[in-house]
Amino acid sequence: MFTCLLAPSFRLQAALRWRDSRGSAAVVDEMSTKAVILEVNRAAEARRIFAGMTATQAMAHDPRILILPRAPEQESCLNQLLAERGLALSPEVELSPEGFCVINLHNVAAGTCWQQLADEQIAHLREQGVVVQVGMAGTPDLAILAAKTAITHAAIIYDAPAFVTPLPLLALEPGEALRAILQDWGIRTVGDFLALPGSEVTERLGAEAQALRRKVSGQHKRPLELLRTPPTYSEAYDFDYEVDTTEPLLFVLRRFLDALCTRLRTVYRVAQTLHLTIPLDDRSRHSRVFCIPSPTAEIEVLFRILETYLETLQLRQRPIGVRLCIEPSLPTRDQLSLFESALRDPNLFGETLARLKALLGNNAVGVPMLRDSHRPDDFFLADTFPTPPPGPPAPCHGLPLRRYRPAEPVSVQTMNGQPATLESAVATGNIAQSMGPYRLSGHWWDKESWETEEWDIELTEGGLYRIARQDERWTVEGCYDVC
Amino acid sequence: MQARQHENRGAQMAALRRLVEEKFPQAQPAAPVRRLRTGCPFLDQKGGLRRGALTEICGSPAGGQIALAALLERAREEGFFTGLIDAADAFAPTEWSETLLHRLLWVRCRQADLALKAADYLLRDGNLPLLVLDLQLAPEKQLRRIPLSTWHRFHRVIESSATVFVLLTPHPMVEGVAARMALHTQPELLDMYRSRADLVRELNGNIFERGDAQDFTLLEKSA
Repeated sequence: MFTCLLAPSFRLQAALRWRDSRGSAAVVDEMSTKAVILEVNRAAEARRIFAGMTATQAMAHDPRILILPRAPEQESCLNQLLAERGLALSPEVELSPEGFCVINLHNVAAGTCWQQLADEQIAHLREQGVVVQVGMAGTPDLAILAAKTAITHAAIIYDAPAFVTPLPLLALEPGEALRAILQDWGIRTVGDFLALPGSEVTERLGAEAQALRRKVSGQHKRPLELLRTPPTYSEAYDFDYEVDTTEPLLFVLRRFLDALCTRLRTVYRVAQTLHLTIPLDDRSRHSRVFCIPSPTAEIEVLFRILETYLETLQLRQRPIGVRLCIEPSLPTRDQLSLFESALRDPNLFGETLARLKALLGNNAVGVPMLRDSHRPDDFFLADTFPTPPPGPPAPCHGLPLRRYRPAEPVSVQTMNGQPATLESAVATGNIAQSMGPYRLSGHWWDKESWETEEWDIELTEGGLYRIARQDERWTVEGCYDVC
Repeated sequence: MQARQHENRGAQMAALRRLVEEKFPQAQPAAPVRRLRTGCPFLDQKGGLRRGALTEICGSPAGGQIALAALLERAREEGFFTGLIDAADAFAPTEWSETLLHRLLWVRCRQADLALKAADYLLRDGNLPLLVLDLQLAPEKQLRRIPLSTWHRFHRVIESSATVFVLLTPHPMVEGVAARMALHTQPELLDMYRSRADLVRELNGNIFERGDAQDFTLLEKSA
């Protein structure tokens, strides 16, 4: 058995997603010169507005009609919803960009009530704001045909000839030339077409007619073009106008998260990464990736992360839309060692770090990590706590230095090759004792070569400092103690 | 009848007890003070650093860094995370063992008021059981501008948590601390050859702790 989930008026449904539209609505092809209407809803049809009209003609019939441009990204998101639903039933799913997916149900348990299964799919997708028609039949093509006719309720086809015979010929969507010939012959229904002798039809009308016969014969199970990539969890929305505040963005993002987290929970997944993209009115885009410290499908947690970021975000251009994509992962459970403790609430901690970065700058908060170098003060800040190596640390010696950033320039008098006095903004006086020089160098093999000479000194008036000489220029690198 | 009177009396006693508890909370038996032992004999003199309270360690930068060494070593042993809010951006990671740094969140600030805001965020977050706010190298002008209400606010935030909040200051300046530790360190150049564990062992000074009547007077005077 095959089933087809078909989203009727696919482009219009995609464009109307996240909008509350009760009146007549139409989607137009902006690329055409006269903005031709592609699809309309039933309210528009009731006002005698049909596909093929221009937007001006539609407005003449109903001045309050909502006319929207095609939204390819929203169409893609809608398609992903169908694909995800299909993959929940079977791994063999064929997805069409026209808004339907065909699913091979060969692995569904015997005795399953097809009607109930179809109704469940309709109800599930309706919860996510998608209207679908469901058809079930013995072949993929018949399932598609069945879905197209299943306007009021799911169509389950057990007897293929009985189903196809009364269908109008146009349901098979023949090409212009073939349709004209068949109409000339007086062929009006699929039954009439099938009554023609098969071999002679092929001889006279060619491969297209043969393909149409196969499609409705109920005997030919064509192989599905299987969906290879996993479904993406993304949503998109384009505003009607440029927005100046974060409220509309947050409002839409909240609705996105509601829908996406529900989808994630259905397949037992959690959000590992959030990709936020904000298209701007100068056609540029602002993008940001959020790694979730403790992957979750909790709406509140994910929303707080986005809210914290948007609160401090300043853009030069105004947003005209918003896109959110979630990278899913399997829920993880941390197994800590006996005496190891984890963060109580990693997501709250991630949010606090985001606040700190907004306050102090991106490179002001993190876990200090040393680079594999002997260069003084060579480190970087990591975003997450790394796994500490086992065993005790290497023993440290001496007082820890407190660095001046940047190092203070200093004037140093030397005597017998040793610093004797120094004068700077942070320390001035005679040097009572000194230890050094400690010569350090690196990268001598390339342009970034460096060489420095360090001294630890103690002033007669008190105070321990580290001074350094580089290219005959002295600096106070930091202090161990001040008087 | 007698049973009902007995019930009424019981309810009255319970109400009275609640009233007394609300009016005179200090009259209630104090909850045991929770402490974090650091492994440094001086810091552990009174049983360790108090949790849910402010502890001020004041003195020279060298003493403050030795105290920090003791705290980081303890964090490594216990496997908990530490936050260091560095008001002068002076912490030098290259001076420390990499293993100690793996559990340290370093917050680099250039101004004392930003450091206080950062501390406020981390205290409210409550994920880090040990927070160190290092104000030792912050300019005196910035330290004088810190309003006294800041410390009381910190106290309110932290009192219901198990966080140990240590303030490293150049001189006594924090109001309402649970304990103040005044360090007496006189480092010399030859200390560069000594192991840091020895320096931690030899750390000394005076500890004034709230709760002990005699010490409390000293505590207020020292401020």
